[in-house]
Amino acid sequence: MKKRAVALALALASVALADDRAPAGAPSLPPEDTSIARASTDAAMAAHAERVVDYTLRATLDPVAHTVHGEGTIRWTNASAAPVSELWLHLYMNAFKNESSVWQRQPIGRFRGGAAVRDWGAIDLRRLVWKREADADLLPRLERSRPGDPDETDARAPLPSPVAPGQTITLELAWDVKLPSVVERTGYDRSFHMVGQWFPKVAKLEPDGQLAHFPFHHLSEFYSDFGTYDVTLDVPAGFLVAATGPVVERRAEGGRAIQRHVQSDVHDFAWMAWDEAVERTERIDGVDVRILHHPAYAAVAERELAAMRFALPHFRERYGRYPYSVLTLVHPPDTAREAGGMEYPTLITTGGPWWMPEGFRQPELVTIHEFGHQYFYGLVATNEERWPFLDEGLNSYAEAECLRAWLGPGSASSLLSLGVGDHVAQAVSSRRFVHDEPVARRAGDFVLGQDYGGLVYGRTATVLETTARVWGKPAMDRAMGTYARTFRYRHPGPADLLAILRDVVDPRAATAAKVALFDKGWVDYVAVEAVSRKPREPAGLFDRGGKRETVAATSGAEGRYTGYAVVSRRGTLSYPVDVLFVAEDGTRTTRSWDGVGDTTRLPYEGTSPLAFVVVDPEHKVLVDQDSTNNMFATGARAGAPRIMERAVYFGQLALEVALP
Amino acid sequence: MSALRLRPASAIRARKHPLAVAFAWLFEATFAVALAHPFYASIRGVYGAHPDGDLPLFSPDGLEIAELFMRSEGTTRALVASSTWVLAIAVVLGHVRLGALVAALALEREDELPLSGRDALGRGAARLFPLLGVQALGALFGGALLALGMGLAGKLHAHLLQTSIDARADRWAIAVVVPFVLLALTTSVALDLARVGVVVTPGRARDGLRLGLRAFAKRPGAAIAGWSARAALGVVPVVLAAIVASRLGGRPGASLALVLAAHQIAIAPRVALRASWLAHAARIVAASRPAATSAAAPAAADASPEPKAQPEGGADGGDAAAENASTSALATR
Repeated sequence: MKKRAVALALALASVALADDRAPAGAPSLPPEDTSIARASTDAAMAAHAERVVDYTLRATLDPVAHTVHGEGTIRWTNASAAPVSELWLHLYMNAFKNESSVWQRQPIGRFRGGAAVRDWGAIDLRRLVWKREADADLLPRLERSRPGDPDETDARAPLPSPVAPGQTITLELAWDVKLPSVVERTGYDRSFHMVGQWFPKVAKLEPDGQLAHFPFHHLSEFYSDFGTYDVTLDVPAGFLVAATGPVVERRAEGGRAIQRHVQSDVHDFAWMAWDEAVERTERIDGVDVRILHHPAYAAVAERELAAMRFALPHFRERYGRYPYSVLTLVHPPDTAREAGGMEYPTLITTGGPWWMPEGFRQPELVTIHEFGHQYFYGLVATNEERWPFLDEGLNSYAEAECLRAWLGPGSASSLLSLGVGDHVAQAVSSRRFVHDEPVARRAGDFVLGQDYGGLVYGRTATVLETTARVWGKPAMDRAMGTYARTFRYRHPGPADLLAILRDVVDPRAATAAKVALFDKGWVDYVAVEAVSRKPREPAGLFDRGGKRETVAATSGAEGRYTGYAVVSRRGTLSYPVDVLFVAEDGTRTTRSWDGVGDTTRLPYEGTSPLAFVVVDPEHKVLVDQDSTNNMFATGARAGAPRIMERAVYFGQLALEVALP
Repeated sequence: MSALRLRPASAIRARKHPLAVAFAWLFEATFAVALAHPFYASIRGVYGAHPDGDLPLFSPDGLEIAELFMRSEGTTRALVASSTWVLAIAVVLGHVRLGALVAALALEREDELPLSGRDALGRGAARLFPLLGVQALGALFGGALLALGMGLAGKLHAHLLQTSIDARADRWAIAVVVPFVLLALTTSVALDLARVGVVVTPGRARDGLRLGLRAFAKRPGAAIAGWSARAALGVVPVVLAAIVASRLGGRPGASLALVLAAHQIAIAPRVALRASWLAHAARIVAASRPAATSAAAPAAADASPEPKAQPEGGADGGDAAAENASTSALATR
């Protein structure tokens, strides 16, 4: 008990420290003497999370009416330093209740959740009682919505008396859920039932005693305290169930299948029930990996298992051991694709059609991405509403890193000789949105779904990939590993990430990342000009010995050329770059430019005239806004024979189709 | 100009007319270059400034090609628009090519002088508009078939999705579409016979069209088998070329020459197979001529010099019948 109290105190202190560093807006870099633990091995990781909230729930599914009846208790501890006089409960299923919810009122477009709700969903809280000497019914005073805002996803429960710091309370509750048709990660599609955000959930308690509550927004995900979930699920016999945590008890009763799942050190619980599913299990890297899918999706499921065989040890090596005994994958039918591509603790949903060709790596990509969220969301439990880039962005980087390590450069797609890397897809697709909105902003503040997708996922990953390329992948691996291990079971903010980039990689890396993420930072390197000639004596009029002499231009010394290249850096980001000089005789030399100024003149000297200059020839600066202006030819341009050959060939094939 | 008449069926062989096949290839290659050049010029405008030219566009992670694609959205649209015009011109002139090719394969001069390229092109040009009419007819009929198939499949798919997994619905929809696709392909086979009929028949094009379609109706098996075998064979060189190109593509040095050779070695047999098919179609058309077939066919069948396993007529037991029929009945002017 004492040991636990000490651990709790230490955890509280660390959370408080992390929050002190977490900024309200753009963070300034922490001072040099910050005491971030450079945990590069698992030994430095926390073994368990601070246990703030425990849920003991029972849920009964009616798959015909698509309803869930729930009841149970919430045991909640005021782990903050201040008394708490109100609780906030997230009733997110009400996002699908009517067109007055925040989710319905703010169509964001060009992102997930765009489909219309064919069948409304809702959650109705039937009972909410604070169990104590004199039970207090909280339901009559529950504020389901705010004046002027009919949204019912974020309910306020005033408490009859404040909960003191360290005090634990128990709430009894009962509720009914009507699942919507599958939309925005949850709902039903025929007998497939994906049940997420289905219970009244206490908002995350911050160290100052405030609860980080927010309505269900189109682009926002979640943020919660760690705890233990003990959930008993009651479904009709014949339904396979996937849920957070391992099954600790299973029985059949009156045509019903009942199973109990218990999992500690997690901050959410979701489940799926489906009577058309089959399952496969495999022990991978010490974890029982289970995948549920329709038999028609067996081939895709095998690909997803293959992805896990690589990803589990890969992530363990980089970001620390996966701490849970189980990991369950659900591949929803393509008609329920909105339920796919989602992460919950120890439970992920993948996605993609049953016929996806091998060369398109969507199943592998989605699987690894959602598994990566077990780290960047699950274990490093950042505030997904306030700083979505911290989970989606870092996880997109981790996903691309893993896919490339596994599948090579054509990690997103590879058809014959045409390959596209995941990191390339992220970089290229995010460039068009760079000037639209800052990356580091609230999920709810994004105006367009395409900005959110391009910037939060792609741009963040590209900034981190650039850091890895410019300052070295080993340094970036250390930084990501340190971040993931240091903040396991904690709730870090952007300043924590930037501090690690500064300390582990380079101060310039941290500065560049901050500008790129918070200030819409961008950069475009340009090869402006290149000149070379034989060195010779200056020509012109010279006054020597009291007389004026005319010196004619000479042809210069043979076999030696001097010149320069002018290179510019446009934009607000700055990275050191290499500049390649190619002489007419094919000689190649590389010079480095620190990239600090706006424009620089780099000298050239060689035995042959300068023919070409290329800035950043290895594309280390993946955030370069336009790499097609990185090249300059002093004279004759090179050809494009391969393009001509391919274009003619495909033209011939096209003509064979079109001609009679 | 001397009158033209159908060759004996045994003489309607694509391999006996390499220059005509070469002309067909040259026509295709010329228009392919016309289609490709604007794209080439556009890309060279950017990557000509790189010391390795367009080699970076073949990088294994696809960065340069992806960036170029994203960055040149507007340019690509303009290039595609201009290429569409080139393609349209190619399609129109392609009917002259088809007519000339069929003429070169299937017709000869009555004065027994060799059929010149000019003769063949003249026949092709003379039949341009009728051939365009056949094309329009085929596009309408084939398009209607495909639209009907897609429509039925879509309705079935939507219905099945109410009660079963999408994979099952997808498979049933495909099962519904496939017969319509096969029907559309069959239509295109029939239209090829109609095209041949239009080219080899003197006088009204309508008679030629009728002749071609009647020939298909009489011997659909031979026509479909002849077309299918060649179509299947035509896939092989493309696959082989793709394998070679994927192994060698994007490497510096001699790989470009090897890929070029692989691609053109893939195209050449496809052009030859097309010519072979047209010759096969001409033999079928000739065999369906009513006037002489009854008398000539039995004797001709015995006398046929063509073994059945011949690649251009292997599936065509009636080639020999076409021989005599064609010589006597299809004289044209």
